[in-house]
Amino acid sequence: MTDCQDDQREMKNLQFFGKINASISHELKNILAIISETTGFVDDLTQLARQGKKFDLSLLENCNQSVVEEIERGFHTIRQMNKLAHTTDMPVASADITEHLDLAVKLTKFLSFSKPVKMVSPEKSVQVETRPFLLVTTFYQLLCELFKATAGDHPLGVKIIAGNNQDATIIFSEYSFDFLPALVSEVLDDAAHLLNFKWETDKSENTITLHLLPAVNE
Amino acid sequence: MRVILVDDEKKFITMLAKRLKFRGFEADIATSGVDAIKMATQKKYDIAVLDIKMPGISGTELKEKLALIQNELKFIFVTGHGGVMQSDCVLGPKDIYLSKPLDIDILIDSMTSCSEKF
Repeated sequence: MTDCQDDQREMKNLQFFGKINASISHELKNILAIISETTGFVDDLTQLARQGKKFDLSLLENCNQSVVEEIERGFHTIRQMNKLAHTTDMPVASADITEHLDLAVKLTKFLSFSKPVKMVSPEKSVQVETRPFLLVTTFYQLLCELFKATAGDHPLGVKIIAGNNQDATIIFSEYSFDFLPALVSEVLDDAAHLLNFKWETDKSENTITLHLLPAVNE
Repeated sequence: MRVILVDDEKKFITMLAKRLKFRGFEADIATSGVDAIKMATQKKYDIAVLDIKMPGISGTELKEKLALIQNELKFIFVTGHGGVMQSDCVLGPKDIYLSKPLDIDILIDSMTSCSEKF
């Protein structure tokens, strides 16, 4: 890679981190907003009690349950943030493809235009030597482009197939557009060399197939 | 004062509606732009409190549609996104923008001031 290409890659990585950061902070603000309104309502009920007025105790139980659920939602959000942060630990590493694709799917759930994803993966872990951070970035961007171009809430299909030689195939299907958005090609072409994969589309089947080859290019 | 709260975070607006009712407001909730439009065709509201980022119809698009149904309606935008003011010129001169998490007293002050001013 030339210095200029390195700079462009760095900029894209920063942009990706910024985008993820914004969507996660939005999610955390929503969680805090619910907790804030719920505790505010408990305060309102306390005022009622002070005035000697009676209210149904199940209101308090519901508030408590809601706060517990939002705390769990917050932990889930932070877990995804933490997993993403750790994909930068090693520039090149053996990575579980299902885990990394699942992380990308979970990160897209924080977006307002997110769509359901039906993922099918082998029972055994599919390990491929790759660039973990770039792999998640690429999956995330690809999913975003497919969501944007898909109408309705029909689930996007993602199937992971283990190869025989530490390679893997991933098939994206069930998206509902007749043409491939230009950004999909851009995202995949951009990462294909660094992640060492080949990709193709089948217009009659409406599928995008990525074949991740063993060992990434240095 | 009749208020419609629109946000895809149902728990948030449900709780907010309860707190507004506790303070004497009439508050209805809608979790999508489509529902809000249906409700606005059936009932008159003084103020619409809209989340900016929602699946389907965004808060700013919804404002345009609701204003066509009820031209006296005043708008308050609420969002968990930072930088909305900078990145999008989404607000009209009469609109108010509040950031999540909300302070109920500030929301009520905003509702009162925007209904009195215009």
